[in-house]
Amino acid sequence: MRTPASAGLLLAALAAGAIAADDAPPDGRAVMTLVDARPRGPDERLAARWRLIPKSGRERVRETRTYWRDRRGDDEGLHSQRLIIFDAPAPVKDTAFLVHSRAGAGGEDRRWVYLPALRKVRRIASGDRDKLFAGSDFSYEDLSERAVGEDEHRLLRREELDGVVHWVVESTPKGESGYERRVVYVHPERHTPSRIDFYARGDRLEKTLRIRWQQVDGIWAWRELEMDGVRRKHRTRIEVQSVEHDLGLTDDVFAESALRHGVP
Amino acid sequence: MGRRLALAILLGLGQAPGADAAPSLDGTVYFESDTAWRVYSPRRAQKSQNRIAPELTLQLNDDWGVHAHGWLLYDPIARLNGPDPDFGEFPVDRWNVGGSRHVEAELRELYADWRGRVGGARLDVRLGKQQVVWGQSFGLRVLDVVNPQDFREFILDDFVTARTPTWGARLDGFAGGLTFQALAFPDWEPDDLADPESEFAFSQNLRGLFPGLAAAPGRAPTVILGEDEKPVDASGQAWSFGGRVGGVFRGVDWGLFYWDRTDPLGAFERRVVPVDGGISNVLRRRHRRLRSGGFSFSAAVANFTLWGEGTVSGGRQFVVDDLGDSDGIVQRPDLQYALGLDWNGWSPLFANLQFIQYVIFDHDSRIQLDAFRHFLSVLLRFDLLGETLFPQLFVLYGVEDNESMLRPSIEWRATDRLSLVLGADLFTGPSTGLLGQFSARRSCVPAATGGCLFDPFPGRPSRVFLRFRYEFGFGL
Repeated sequence: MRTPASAGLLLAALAAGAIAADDAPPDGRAVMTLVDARPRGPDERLAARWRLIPKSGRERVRETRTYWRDRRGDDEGLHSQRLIIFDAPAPVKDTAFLVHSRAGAGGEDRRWVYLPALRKVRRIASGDRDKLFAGSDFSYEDLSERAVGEDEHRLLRREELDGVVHWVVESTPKGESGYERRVVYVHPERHTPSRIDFYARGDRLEKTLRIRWQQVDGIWAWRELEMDGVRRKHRTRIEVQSVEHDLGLTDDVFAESALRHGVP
Repeated sequence: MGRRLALAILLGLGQAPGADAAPSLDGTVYFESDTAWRVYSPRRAQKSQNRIAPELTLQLNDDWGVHAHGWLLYDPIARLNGPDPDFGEFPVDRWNVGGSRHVEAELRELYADWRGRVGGARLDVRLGKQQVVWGQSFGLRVLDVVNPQDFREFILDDFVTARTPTWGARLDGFAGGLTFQALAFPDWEPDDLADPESEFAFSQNLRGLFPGLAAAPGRAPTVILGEDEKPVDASGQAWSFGGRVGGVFRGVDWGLFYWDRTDPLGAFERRVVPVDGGISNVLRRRHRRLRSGGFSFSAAVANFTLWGEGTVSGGRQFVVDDLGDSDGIVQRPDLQYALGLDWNGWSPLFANLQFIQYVIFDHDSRIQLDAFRHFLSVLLRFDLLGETLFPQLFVLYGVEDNESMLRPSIEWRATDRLSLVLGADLFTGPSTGLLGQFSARRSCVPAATGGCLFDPFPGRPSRVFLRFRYEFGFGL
């Protein structure tokens, strides 16, 4: 079942090699194909601390676990699955969010949330893209994934960021999105995004996401993400505490029942 | 018996094998002060519930865990309980501390969890006292039929508090893209009706509550309340069992349900007895076996989520006005379902419209309730200032009786630990309606011994309330 995905990744990796060898300026789509095809492992478990930081007032902290699985090429048209479980503090403990991203599959994402206070799982409308998740600066759309084909990509320039010259790509959605465009700063060797500027309707800068990376098991994984809600005057910093790859996560981890019962 | 068996299994888990992870203990504790005042005369405090509720989870290893949750409640006003602490019977594991109607302790949950795999299937087993939540309807429970309900505050906003947890076993599994659940509960509990002299006592005018009452010529009917009929453990009638299976088909969540139990609500049967040269009516709650099949679905399109749920039951009891009927009860199949539409089109707002219909099949004119009854509801909930302020309005409207329950509130989460809710529960409609019964003063039901069977005062429990909650967690 995973063969098509593996083949896709191989082709993309070969393409990446070709671009690197030529050192010719790639076009935007090629850059984003590299980003999409970078080695991520078949699945991931990540423990993180979310800091919700208002411009003034008290910082709030959330402890979370995230489970992610690559589903590109599967029979059901899925792109990936992600489950986020809140472990602390007490009032939000066991709140869980599940998304089945169907990016590029012609279907809408499927989302569920578990509300422990009600002990109920509710299906969430997929059109609710720009609603912010759990008081953070990440929208539901930010927690889903986008396939390369869902956006038009244009290489804008090369620009130095943290001492490295990055490719700067503008990605404009072809279809429904909570954003008018994104500007993505891509590390030219790791093919990881270091910064994303999100522009809302009217081309207003809505948010800026900065991502720091670490190498775990030979895979570039998040170390810290900071989403700066420019207009909201609020920030969310996600500090990754541990990352594990290739755990053999199975369907039941990403089933609606896992929201109620947790992950074994 | 079932409760003792479950408790023995729980205690046996102290020797759970396979300790591949260090044991850990996590807990939360909340303090809650919930005070309500009546909005109609007499404008007095209705309750001042002060509750401390610890909740502990002991994770023995990767597979086994034990969870316990209880509370201690002190209410110096206690008008929700009525003046007699001995009225009716408390559910198991709820106690009046010191015989006082003001202090109540309750073990809400105590269960052991095992997680693992058998063959290719993921299994979760839960043994002990627990709640099982089916369905997602607002205001009225439609598919949420597993646990009995506490009606002491009629329809509580919080179903988690209103459910009466029960002892039993539950198995959840996932295999082949399907989730399944099997349930077996050996202990039976009735729905906890409010004391006849308490604030939310059902009105004796409520249609469908009491059957037609017999009276001697020229005399008003009188009533004697009898002891509830209960299922006998040894007969197996106390057992409840059932399950559900569900999955996702073409983007639609679906579920099928079955639940077989002795009806926890039951119905009041009537027996006519001679009293002092006349006659009186002995009313007692009768519980009969009720088998329900259920369904649910949920699908999201654009900004909308359409969902539905329902049950079809065989043998539900309905009271009749026919004095020629020997006990005043007939049994009929019925359908109860809800259709809901959630809307998320504007980020700070969650909106829901809900349609609920009750249908009695093979209806005849003797049955007090209409063959078709309809309720509509609207829920508007705002999330303002980054999950800090939550204004909310819930309106439940009963079509046939032109009755309603209005529930405006505003919640302020001052910090992660501290929240305040200010709100109201308001009722309108005639005294014969499910909601309207709480907007009218209750009338006197003559007792066989003279006077009123119970104090008709006060009725009209519409209220405003202020709830303060402080919660914290810890781990070892």
